[in-house]
Order: sequence, then C-alpha cells, then structure tokens
Amino acid sequence: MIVLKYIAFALTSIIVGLLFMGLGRKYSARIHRRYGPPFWQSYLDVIKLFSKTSISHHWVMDFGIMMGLAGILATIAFLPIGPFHLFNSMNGNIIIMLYFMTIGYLGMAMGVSASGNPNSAIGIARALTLMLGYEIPFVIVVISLIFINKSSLLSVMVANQAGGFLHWNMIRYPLGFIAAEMALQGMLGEKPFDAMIAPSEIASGPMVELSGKMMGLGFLQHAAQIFLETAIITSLFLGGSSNVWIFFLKMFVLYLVSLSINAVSARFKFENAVKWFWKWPMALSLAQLLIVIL
Amino acid sequence: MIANLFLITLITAFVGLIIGGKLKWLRWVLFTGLLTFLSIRLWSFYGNWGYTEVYKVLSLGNLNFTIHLGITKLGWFFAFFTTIINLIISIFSIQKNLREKDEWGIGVLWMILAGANIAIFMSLDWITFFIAWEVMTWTSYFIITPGWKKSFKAANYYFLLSMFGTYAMIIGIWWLFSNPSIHTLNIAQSISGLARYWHVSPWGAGTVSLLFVTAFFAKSAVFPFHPWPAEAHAEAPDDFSPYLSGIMIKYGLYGVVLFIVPLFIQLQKFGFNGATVHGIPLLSYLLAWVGAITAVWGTYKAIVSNDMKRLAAWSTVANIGYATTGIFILSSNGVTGGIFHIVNHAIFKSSIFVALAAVKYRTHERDMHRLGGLATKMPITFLTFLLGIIAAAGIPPMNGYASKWLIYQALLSGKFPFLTTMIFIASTGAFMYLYRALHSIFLGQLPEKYKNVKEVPVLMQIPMLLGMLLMIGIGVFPGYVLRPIGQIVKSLGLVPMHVTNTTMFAFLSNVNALVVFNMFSLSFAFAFVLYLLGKRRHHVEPLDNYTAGQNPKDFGMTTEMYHFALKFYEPFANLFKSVRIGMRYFYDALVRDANLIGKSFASMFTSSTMVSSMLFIGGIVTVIIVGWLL
Repeated sequence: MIVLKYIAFALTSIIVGLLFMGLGRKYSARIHRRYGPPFWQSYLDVIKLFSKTSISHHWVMDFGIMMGLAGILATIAFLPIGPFHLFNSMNGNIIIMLYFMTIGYLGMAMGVSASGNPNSAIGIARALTLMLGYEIPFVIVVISLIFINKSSLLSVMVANQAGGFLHWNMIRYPLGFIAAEMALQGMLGEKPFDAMIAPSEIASGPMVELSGKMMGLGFLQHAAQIFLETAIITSLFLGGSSNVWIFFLKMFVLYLVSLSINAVSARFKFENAVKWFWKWPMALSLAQLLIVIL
Repeated sequence: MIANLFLITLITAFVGLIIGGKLKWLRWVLFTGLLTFLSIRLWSFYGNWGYTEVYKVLSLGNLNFTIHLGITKLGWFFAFFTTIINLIISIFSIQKNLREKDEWGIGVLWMILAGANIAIFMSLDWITFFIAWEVMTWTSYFIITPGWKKSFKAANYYFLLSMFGTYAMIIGIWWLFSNPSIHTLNIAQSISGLARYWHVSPWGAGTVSLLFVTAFFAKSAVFPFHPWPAEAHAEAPDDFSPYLSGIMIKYGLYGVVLFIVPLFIQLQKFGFNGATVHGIPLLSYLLAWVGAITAVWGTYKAIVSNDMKRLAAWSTVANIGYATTGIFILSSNGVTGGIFHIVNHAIFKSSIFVALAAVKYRTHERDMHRLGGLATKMPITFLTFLLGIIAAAGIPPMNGYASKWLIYQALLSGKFPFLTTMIFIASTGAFMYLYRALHSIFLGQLPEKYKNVKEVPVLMQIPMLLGMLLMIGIGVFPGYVLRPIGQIVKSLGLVPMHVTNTTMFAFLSNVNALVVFNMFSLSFAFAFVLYLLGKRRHHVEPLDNYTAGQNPKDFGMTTEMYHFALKFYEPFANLFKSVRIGMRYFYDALVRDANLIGKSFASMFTSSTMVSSMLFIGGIVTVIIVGWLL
C-alpha cells in the first residue's frame, strides 16, 4: 500500500514539475515577446531523451545520476502534498527534508563530476558555494518558524495557518517570507543566481556531459526539485491547502514569480551572489528571528 | 580483573618488542590478537557497574598513592567502542606495515597506548587518570614521529599544546586535593565537592573547572587549540591517523562528560545562583559557543585545504565542535546527541582515514589535485569514502545524521537559534569540502601514471567493509547505540530520551530511521527502473569529452591538466581574504621559542661536563630546599 502511495507521490511530483516547466517556458517566452514552445514540450523532451542512446564515462556516473533523482524523490515522500501524506509521525519533518535533499545534490554532483569534464566540476563548485550562500538565510527563517510553531513538522505549520488569508505566515512574518523568496531564487538556480549553469561560460556546467537517458533523469530531477522547493515554501508561508489543486496553484504562482525575476535579470558572479545572500536575505531573516524571539 | 588487562597488554608489548627479522609481521598480528582479547574481556565486563579495584602503590608518611580502577557506565561504553574501532583499524595495519621501515617502535607503543586507552576510561581517581593520560600523550607523541623530519615538527606542535593542557590539569588536581573543603582525589567525590564549593566561591570554582576544561579542550583540539590536528593527523603514519582522529581526539570530550557536565548538572539541580542563559549556566553557554566557533572555523579551514589528510583533520575539528556544542547544552537530547556524535564520528572518520591511507598506500600521494579518477580502480575504497562522507555530511540514512539531528533537536528545543545557525553553517560547509575531496581523489580524470593502480589487498579491504557495515547499521538502527548512551545520560542525572531500535523521539518531532532508509531504497529502485527503461548507454573514455568540437589531445591536454581540482574553492576563499586571524602564527612562534629554549638547555648540558655537573648539583639542591621549605 505504502509503496503504491509512494509511486503516486513520485509520479505526481514529476508530472506536475514537468507541467510547471512547460508552462514556465511559455511564460518566459511571452515576457521576451517570443511565441514559445507548447506547454507539453517538456513531456516530449523527456520521452525523446529516454528513447535516444546515451554515453557514459564511468559506472559512478550512472550511479550518481540515479542517486540524484532518488534523493529528491525520497524527500518528496516526507512532504505533505495538500491533504495527502505518507507518514503520520514524520509528516513534513523539515530538518530531515533539508538534509535528505542534500543526497540528491550529492548524487547529481557525483554523477556529473565522474564524467571528467572540467566544466561540470566548475559548475558544481559554483553550485555548492552558492548553496552555502542561500541555505543560511533560509535556515534562519526555518528556525524562526520552528520556534513559533514549536514543531519541525510542515503539517503542523500548515495547520497553524488555517483560517484565511490573514493567518498566512507570509502576512504575519513578511520579512522572513521575503528572505525565503530570495533564497528560493537561488535554490531553483534561476537568474540572477544561475552561475552554476551559465551556458555561455561553462557550457551548461553540470549538464555538459549528459545525454540521452542521463539527461532525461537529470531533467526529471530538476522537475521534482521545482515541485519540492515550491511546495516547501508554500507550506511554510502560503498556508498550504487542503485542496490539492489550490496547493498546486499556489506553488505555480511562486514559480512564476521566480521566472519573472529570471526573465528580466542578468547573471551575478557567484562569489558576489554569496556576498549578496549574506547581506540582504540574511539581514531580513535575522531581523525576523529577532522579532520572533523577543 | 581490570589490572590483568594491563598486565597482558604489557606482556604482549614486550613480546612485540623482541620479535624481529622475518617474523616481524607477527607483531601486528599479535596487536590484532591483543585487541580482540581486550574487546572480548571488555564485553564480559558489561553489567558489573560499580565494580572497583584498589592497589596501594606507595605510602609516604600520611600520603597514600593508590590506584583506583573501576567500571562505570560511561567508562565502559567508551572503552568498549574505542577498542572495537582500534581492532578494526589494526587489521589494516597488518598489511600496511609489511614493508614499512619504522614500524617496530610504532607497533610496541601502540599496544601500550591501547592499554592506556582503557586505563583512562576505567580510572576512578585523578592520579590514575593523570598517569594514563600521560602515558597516552607520550606514546602517541612517539608514534606520530618515528624519526621523520616533517612529522617531528608536527608532533612538537601536538606535544606542546598537550603539555599546556596537562599542566592546567595537574594544577587543577592539586587544587582539588589541597582545598580543605574538597580534599579528595576521587573523581566522583570531587564533582560534588566542587559543586558545593561553587556556592562558597563561584570565581574560584569556576577557575578550577576552566583549568580542567583547558586540559580537555587542548586534547580535543577545541578552539583555541584547534591547529594541532591539521599538523599531527596529517603527518602521522597513515594507519595511525584513523586512530588519532577517530579515538584519541575524543579523550578530551570524555573528560568533559566525565567531570564538567555532571558538575554543571549538579549546579543546575541544586539551585544555581549565578548567571544563566535559557536555564543553563553562563559558563556552559559560553563553552557551547566555543564549540560552535570551532565547528565553523574547522569547516572553513577544511574548505581551503588541498592536502587530503589535512582536510580530513580539519573536518575532525569541525565535528568535535558539533559534539562540544551538543554536550554543553546540558539537556538530555544534547548530551545524548553529543556522545552519539562522538561514537559516530569515530566510526566514519576512521573509515575515511583508512580509505585515504589505502589511496596513499597505492599512489604515495597526498595532494588532492595530483590524484583523480580512482573510483574505477579502487571501488571498495571509493565506496567506503563515499559512505564516510555521506555520514560526515549528516545526510540520512548514514549514522552521522542521527546524532546531528539530535543536536539540532537539543538546540532548537532549548531555544538557541544562533547556535543552531552556526552549526548549520558548518554542516552546509561540510558538504562543500567533502564533495571536493570525493571529486578530486576519486572522480574526474585519472592521471596517466595511475593507469595500473589496483585495489588494495583483501586484508585492507576488511576494515573498510566493516566500517561501511557499521555506518549503515547504526544509521538504520540507532537505538542499539542510543540505549547504552541513555544509561550513561541517566547516570549523569538526566532523563534519558525515549528510543526504540529504529525510532528516536524528541521534543519537536521524531524520526524512524528504518523508514528513512526504506524510502531512499525505494526511490533508488524507482530511479533504477527509469534508468532501465531508457535506451542503452555506450561507454566512452573520460578524456573524450565535450569541448565544443575540439579534441582535448589536439590542444595538448593531458588527463592531469584536464582535472579541475586545484584551487577548487578559490573564489570562495577570496571572500575572506581581508579577514585573517593568525592563530597559527602565534602557535608557530610558540613552537619556535620552545625549541629554542630547549636547544639552549641542551647545549648547556652538552657543552662541558663542568657546567652540566654544576647544573645537576644545583638542581638537586633547589629541589631539597624547596621541599624543605614547603
């Protein structure tokens, strides 16, 4: 039973994540005054990628890429999606989730750096440095929310926000929300924080050696990651939802905000991005924390 | 019963001393045998709580020097797990020392060290503790430097800081004994005595406890004594580094749990009238911050280091920082998490160091940027290292996350947001340097000269396999280790946390480690099915890379040059260029001065017989006069 439920969770996250990606591409195109691909293009891309032969340099490469997807999907198993959840006692345990996500990053990093292309290693070095930048303000925000709710479960936090728009943490703790939103931009790797991908500098960084089904698995991981990250912010600040469609809608709005910023901004140098993260979101999150504990 | 262990250790060490020539491999087999014996004996001690042995060594007038040995829950636990880990490491040593030149002294001293290890954990009075502590310091000093020039410098570093700590401790012990209201050498009695004395004179008692803290922190390389592991762990013999980093660095924290933590807990219980922060004494809170600073500082140094053994040593410093912070929170979760992290760190860090020793055994190289691509050549070593870094980064389902999670629970439920943030910074940074080590050593391009490198022999693989098994096992079933720790926590006067074999219950949430593990396996199976669904893959040589249409070989690229590993995080390091706190320069100068003074003393003795005999007589006269005056 739990296995079937898990498979439903995994497939939902992938399908919804791909849908977001497709719609997002259309949305960005319209901002750029382009026509853009149809919204089902991402599904076609995945099918195409899985039906082409691929190259692999190393058994660690295959292993790492699989581990990357597995890490993100395993985290989604602990995520409350609207009214649905897999485990009662660990229903959105945010500390476990933050750490579990890391195994996805580690898997991806391991897989691509096994390919031996220096561009991918440079990309990963940038991504990890950037991670140190955005994780810290984000964690400070999470800590203040844990203090408020006296629990590290997302489900409890969602329950505490019930009762309409004005009870959302977004309204009650606006500074923290802005900091988390800035961190989300870094997590999703959208501009101005896309130095790790930077197609014009390091040839798409981590993805440079991926082809065929390797690229397909990476694509799925990205889709699941979009789903996971927007879902976490939705549960933390936008009050979650007992209706799964409204939940997805809230997530999509978050993703569109991120894409809008992406569409109109240029790329930060990644060390400057770290500095920026340690200045503005950090200041906002610390201010929020002080307000909460005082 | 306990003293027999030391007798047998000494006899074995003597046998090890006289073995030589063609039979020298037997010395290391003997060592493994000794450790097996010790482990079995220690296992049989389980449950004999409160058993004591007293030996009268010397009586001078009304002064009796007695040795008290005994089995406490805390001591037994530490003695047992350290001996087991030492046993695992020693299997590696058998193969490693087959062709080594300087292994004779190392083997013998290490046997004595294994005995001193147990003596530290089984001593009930400060004199025994101090003697065992000194034996441990001296033997480890000579193991780190079996006459090699580079390691001699490193060992001096270690020794000087250890000496500083030892002096602090002997002053503390002397104070405990000479103070009329405490006047005891028994460890347990001195705790309650000092706790009572705290109400009389908080400053005096605080200073004495700080003396002990100095001694323990110096051994555990907590800030400001953090620089020695990077020197000593890196330069020590490769098979001794796992022991040094996994076990020896924990003695300080053992001392903290033995003496300082019960002291603070007693203070807390019997109405502490000093300053408190969130219910814990101010001193304890400050020491928790010292731990957090150690964690962040160690992490930063690990990120910018290029030598693989140095990197692992700095990582050890950072992990000691986590455990220190957890322990000084003084809550049940904190102390449990701290002790659990000590155990977990001992396991994963000795596995990491064993893997590094295996790499060095085959390649004779320590600089990470000269290595690369070894994962295909040494798969077992690679997997050990991989699991080790997953555990060290605190990622589920390995053992490291369970203890880190507990420390977070303690920090969050005790309302310490800034400490939590510090620990999280260190933890995220850990991911950076651990990945860098994995990439630079095992992934990326394989240099030409290592084309024919083979996996290490079976005897070296056994400890790695055992290490992997322990990492996964404890990660999935933390309850088996947490229950004995719960007993210790109970004996310290705290309420033990509720655990089952797989589930940890805490104030904020609970975690079922088995479910976490199963979810990961399930997800991996899911990803694997997708992988199988895709069209087949071809194997392509790593140098045949995407380079925008050019062949790397055409523009003179070799595999070595194509491996991006040197200055991996340079832009990040540049962020902190303006911030240079030169703790190292201070210690460097200290070592230099100490050597200078030592040399001038040595020259006094060696320059002429006249001067040296004068000094000798003068020394004796001084001792007699001082003794007479006192």
